[in-house]
Order: sequence, then structure tokens, then C-alpha cells
Amino acid sequence: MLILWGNLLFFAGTMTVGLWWLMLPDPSPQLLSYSWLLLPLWGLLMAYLVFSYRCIGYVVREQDIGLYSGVVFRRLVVQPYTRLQHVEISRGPLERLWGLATIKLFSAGGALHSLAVPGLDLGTAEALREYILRSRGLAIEQ
Amino acid sequence: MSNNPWRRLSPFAIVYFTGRTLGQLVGAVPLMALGLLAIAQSDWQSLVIYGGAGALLVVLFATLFFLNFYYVQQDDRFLIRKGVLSTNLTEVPFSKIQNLNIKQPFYFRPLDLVVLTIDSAGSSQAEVEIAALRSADANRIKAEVMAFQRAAPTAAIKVETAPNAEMACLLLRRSFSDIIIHGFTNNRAWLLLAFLAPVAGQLDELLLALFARFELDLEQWFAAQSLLLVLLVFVAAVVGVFVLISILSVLGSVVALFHYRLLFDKQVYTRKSGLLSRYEVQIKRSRVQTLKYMQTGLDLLFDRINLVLEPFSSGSQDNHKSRFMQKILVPSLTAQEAPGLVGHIYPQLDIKQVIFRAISRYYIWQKMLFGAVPVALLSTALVHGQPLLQSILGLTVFCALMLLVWLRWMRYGVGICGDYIVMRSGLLGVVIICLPVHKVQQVKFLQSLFLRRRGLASLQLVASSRTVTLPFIPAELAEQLLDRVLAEVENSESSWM
Repeated sequence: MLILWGNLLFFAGTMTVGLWWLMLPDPSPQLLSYSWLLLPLWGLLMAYLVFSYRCIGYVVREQDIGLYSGVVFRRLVVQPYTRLQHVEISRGPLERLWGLATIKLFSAGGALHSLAVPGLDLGTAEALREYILRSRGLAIEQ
Repeated sequence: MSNNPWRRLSPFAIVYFTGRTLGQLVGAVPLMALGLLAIAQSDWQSLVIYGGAGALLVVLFATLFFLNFYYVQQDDRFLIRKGVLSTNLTEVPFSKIQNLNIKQPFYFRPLDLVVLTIDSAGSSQAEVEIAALRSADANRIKAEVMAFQRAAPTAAIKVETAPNAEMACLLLRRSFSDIIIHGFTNNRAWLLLAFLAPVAGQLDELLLALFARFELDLEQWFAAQSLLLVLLVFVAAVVGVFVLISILSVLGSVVALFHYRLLFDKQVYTRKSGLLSRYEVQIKRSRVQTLKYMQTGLDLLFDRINLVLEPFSSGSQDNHKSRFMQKILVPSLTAQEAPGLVGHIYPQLDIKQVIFRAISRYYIWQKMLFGAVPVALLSTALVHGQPLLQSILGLTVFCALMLLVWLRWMRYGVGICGDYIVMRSGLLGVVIICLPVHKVQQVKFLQSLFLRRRGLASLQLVASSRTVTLPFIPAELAEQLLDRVLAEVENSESSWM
């Protein structure tokens, strides 16, 4: 199963920028004395992010698709094709840069319960979409 | 495909849009009014001016909305164009329509105008309202859509075999006393409470300001009285609030449920009720996604049961009222009436025969470690520096929370009856959710490392009306159910709609 190194780097980048930005504006002496804490905290956060992305996996079956995720609180979400309302491929700017895509599956369960498989190769995402749309017993109108 | 022209609504729709916006704003009005009262000492003029300006803005917006609202009914779909700043075109195919409800606000009654609400499944989540139609027109549209749906089943809808020709029949009525009992046992005053919530934070300052105006100095007065008297006043105040809320709730119940009738005609359940504004909610039997069987603590005392037929619920509804309008609530059924109605809606489900399994006791441990203990510890921070008082407070909070946790654990139960998954929960009252397996949209299997070690898991069944969570059940049961639900959803021919 392909994991998204791209997204990982994106998050790492955001966190780094965020942290440095927080530190810049107000260099009061008290804040600076605590700033040494930031480095190990940031390191822990990075380690967690790496680890959590290694823990995402997906499985494509004949009639449904499942997504595993979570480090401590593991979850498996299974979406049968027959209950799909529509399928969407979305690509953020960084995803476009690295040739990746996220496939999103919507059922009638509401936007909260949409299944998103991130960090797929664009070709894989499109092939998956085609496969799903051609699946027997689909509820989506073509 | 007929080429019908785009139509505008009747200008009376402006009244409806105004009313709707005002209803949404009602939450802000008490806040603003009270705030103004407290700050500007006796400035009634400015209050009137601000209020008037606000109302004018609302009417203006409603007019703009009306001017930009166009709709057309084609052979197999509705097209609606609306929006003031950004117009969007919404397409509602008849085959995707879940509910068609007609309501008549009291200000439309003399003119016999109604509002048609269309709810559909699919990616465009919002419900559409066509306001100020003549009631004959609305009924005609409804009949046309329903005829379309009956005549042209898509591949996703199973052709319904009508067993015996069911004629329109009145399933049940609710008497005035039933409605009053319902208002007392179920809090229908939540509307007002929800609106008062933002004010609650400023309530004490407000009260102080009010008292200051009337030259009452509370602190001195309290200090001067005996502790007993203060306690009595406090208790009287609490009882007073309870009585007030009960009265408001009964009033709310009467206004919404007056002359309640539940009808069944051609596989469609219709609920009609309403004192000032007449409301009608229709749900086709096959469209009922889940059934909620509910008794609050007070209902248990009166031995009454409430049933709620829940259809597909579109996305996020911002107010309680629209959520209320999409479901069919059957209030205050007696213990004899309830099982019969459940059997009518779900023919293979005999709710009295369901055996519930308890969930794991680990639930209690988890809530204790991650809930009761931290909260109790935090509460001790409220009373600083008095170790005895702190420990008493902490212990009391802990015991109170654990009692609640235990009560909740006692209520939890998982039952499987044929093709139905029946989930019981609640605290003082009882809530039972009945979910037919083939209505499931998505399944989630949750197993944290802690649960895994104990051979437990949580299963979430996502339906289009709600999500049913079976927490802390044995992992094998969760896996069996997972496989069974998926097999049923993927292989059976019955549609979820």
C-alpha cells in the first residue's frame, strides 16, 4: 500500500513554518527561555506524523473499499460500492506538484462519513475511480 | 422534456422568508433587547429605532431573495435558481426525492397558501423550499412527483408488491391529554432554552444590573438573612424554574402537536398536527431509515413511549425546528399501542422479543479513567488551598459521575432480531434504535490498542438518518456483524431508499 510521503512533507513543512512564525514576533525573555522546549516537542510531533502515515492502508475488494488508519485508535472504514452517491478525485496544490491525488467517496451517510484515500498516485486514483464506476449494482447515475 | 418557462414565486413568499429569517434570529433578539435594557438605562426610543431598522433589513433581504428565486417543474425534475449574492442552480430529480412536506404557517392560513419542502438524497444536500404556493397547486405537485416515483422505478428501487390493497386509514390520534403529558415528559421547551443559552452567560451580570436599577443590594440582603432562608429561596427558585420550563414545554407541545393524526395511505405515513400553523410530514414506509423508540425518565413514570420515524436527513440542519419537521414523531403512546405500531412499520420486528446483550464492563473503567478521574481532579482546583474541602468536593464529583456512568452502562444493550439491529442506550430514560441491516451506508470498525488487548471493539453503522454505535462489544461479535452487514448490503436486492 502506497503511503503519502508527499502529504507528510507538506504537514512537516506547515508545522515548521508555524512554529518558527510563532517564535519570531515577540522575543520576550521569558518566552525565549522556554523556546528550547520547542525543538524536542517538534521532533516528537514529526516522529508521530511519520509514524501515523505509515499506519494508513487501503484495500480494494470486489464490492467495497476499506481504509485502515490510526496509530493508537485504529479504525477500519468499509464503504460498499452499492451505497455510493458519488466519487470525487481532489488534488491540492502540493498533490498536484508531486503527481498525487486523493479519492473521496460519498455515501448517503452525510459529508461527515465520506471516505477519503489520500496520497494516491494520480494514475492509481483514476483507475480506481473507473473500477468503482463500472462496478455492478452501483447506485450512481452515470 | 417539456420546455416550461422559469416561474417566480407569489409575492407572499416575502412574508414567509421574513418569517423564516426572524425565526432564525429569535436567538439574538432576547440578547440584544436585554443587553440594550441593561446598558442604556431607560432608552426605549433607541430600542425601537434599532429594532425597526433591523426588521427593515430583514424584510429587504427577504425581498431580494424573492426577486432572485426562480423555479421550474419539468417532466422528471425540478430546477431551482436562487441566491442573492451568488446564484446557484439546484437540480432535483424526482427519483431522488425522499420527502415532500407541506406546511402552512399561521399567517398563510387565511389565504390558503402553503410551503412545499423538498428533501432529496444525493450530493446536493440542502433541502429546497418553495414558498407561498396555493395549497391545491402544492398537492397537485406532490401527487405528480409521487405518481412519477411509483411509475418509473429506477434500478436502485425494488418494485413494491402491494400485499393487500391498503386504503387510506387513520392509524391513530393523540388526545389533548396525551399531548400535555408529552409536553411534560419531553422537553419541548428546548427551543426557548437553546435561544436563551447565549444569554445565560450574561444572565448574572444582567440580573445584577437589573437589581441595581431597582436599588436592591443582594449581597447585603443575603448576609442579613439566615442560611436557612437563603437555602429556601434557592430551592424555591429552582422549583420555579422547573415549573416554568414545564409550562413552556407543554405549551410548545400543544402548539406543535395539537390535533395530532397519523395516517397511512399507499405505503406513505402522514402526520398532521399544529395549533396555529398546520404542519404535515410525509414519509414513505420504505424511506424510513431508522426507528427510534424513546422514553424519558418522566415517560417511564407515566408509562408512555415516543416513536420517531427517521428518514434520510440532509446534511446539517441549523435549527431544531427543521430537524423536527423531517421526522415523524408519534408522541406518548401507551404500552399497548407502541409494539403494534413498531410492527406496522417494521413487519418482522417484534420489539418485545428482542434480547439485549450488555456491553463490556470495560466501558465503566474507561469512562472512569479518562472521564471521571480527570474531571474530579480538575474540580478540586475550584476550591483552592483548603485540602479538606478539596477532597470532599473531588470525591463527591467523582461519585456523582461514576453513578451516571454506571446508570448509562446499565442501559446499554445490543440486540439482533432477524434483519434488524436494535441498540438500546440512555441514562435515566431509554432510547432504542432499530436499524434494518440493509439500510446501512457504511461500516466502521474501531479498535484502539486498549480494546484490542481485551478482545473488544466498537462498531459504527452509518445510516442516512443517524449513526448507530455499538461500543465495547466482543471483537468476534463485531467482526461477525461487520461481515454480515456488508454481505447483506452488497448482495441483497432491496434498496435502502
